[in-house]
Amino acid sequence: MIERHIWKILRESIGILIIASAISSLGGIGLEALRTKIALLVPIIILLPALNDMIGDFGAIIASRFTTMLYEKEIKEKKWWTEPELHHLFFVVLGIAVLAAIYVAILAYFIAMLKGFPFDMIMAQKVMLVSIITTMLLVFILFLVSTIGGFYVYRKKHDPDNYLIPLATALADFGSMITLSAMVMFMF
Amino acid sequence: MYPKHEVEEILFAEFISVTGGVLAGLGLTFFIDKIIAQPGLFILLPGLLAMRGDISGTMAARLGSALHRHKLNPKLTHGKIIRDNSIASLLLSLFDGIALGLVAFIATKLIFGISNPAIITISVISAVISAIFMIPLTTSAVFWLFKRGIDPDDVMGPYVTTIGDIIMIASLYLAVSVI
Repeated sequence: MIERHIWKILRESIGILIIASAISSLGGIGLEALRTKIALLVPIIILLPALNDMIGDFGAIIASRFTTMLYEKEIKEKKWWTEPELHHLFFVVLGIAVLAAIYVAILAYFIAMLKGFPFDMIMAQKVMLVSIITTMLLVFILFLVSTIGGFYVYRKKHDPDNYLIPLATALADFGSMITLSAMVMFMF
Repeated sequence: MYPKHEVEEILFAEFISVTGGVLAGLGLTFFIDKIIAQPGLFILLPGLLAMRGDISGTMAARLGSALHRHKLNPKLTHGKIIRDNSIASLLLSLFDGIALGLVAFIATKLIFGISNPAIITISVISAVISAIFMIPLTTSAVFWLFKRGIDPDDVMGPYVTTIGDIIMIASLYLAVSVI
């Protein structure tokens, strides 16, 4: 028989866990459609888990920082896009995200070369572009969703942290895989 | 709002995290032929990678809270709370593995017209093997950090996603090899 504490953890976690994992997995449909193409692109395969994690991490940072700003009343909903604090958050996260995207693309291509993948300047530039554009686009989308969703949840007097972080990480997983697949389809 | 050291902390944690992610990606290249041979595995992959962070991350947070609230003795790495959390995490991994396998199976069947029931078994085996390794690693890391005066809440997120990715890819390799 399952003890009460274990049962409590299972009951509170299972629903959101399965929904979050399922949303993440649905992002893989794009990859599945291109699987024979992606299998030949060794740097992209190496990039996959890192890009997936990285965008999820930025989703969590944006959501939690935005919630703190709301609670500390540093931002107002009216004309929120003019708030300097939000501009600052957006550009700091975007800057770090672009640096991390460049680093991860270089590292992935370098490791692919160690595995025998030939160096080709055009291919290397494409891998770099895929990494940077996917990251920038997702940071922008995550920022919009966290801001609009955050104000809505806050207005309803709920804690935005409880909604925004699971939403942002699931959206990041789903969005990064779909965007990556679309980029691979058009660029390679 | 963002002192320089805070930006540096995020950058440092992120660089460590993505380096681990790249190592997990390198692991994928070693059995890419087996991945291609299993329709639906690319659908399964992002969900499996997210699962370890979700389950072990929340387990680390629960243990961290119990330590902060003095409900756990930092000198004892066993006991009821740890046992309950370990069993719950193992069961969550099993149920999530079944759910993800079903999602991958149904999506592959509906969208690509390919029926591959083996994907459900692969998902369950990967989820359970990775949980068997991640649960003790997560528990020992939380205690190790706490005893050294480091707040596990600040560090366990990137640690769990990085180590979780590597262990999950290794578990996936084992599962795909067995099937």
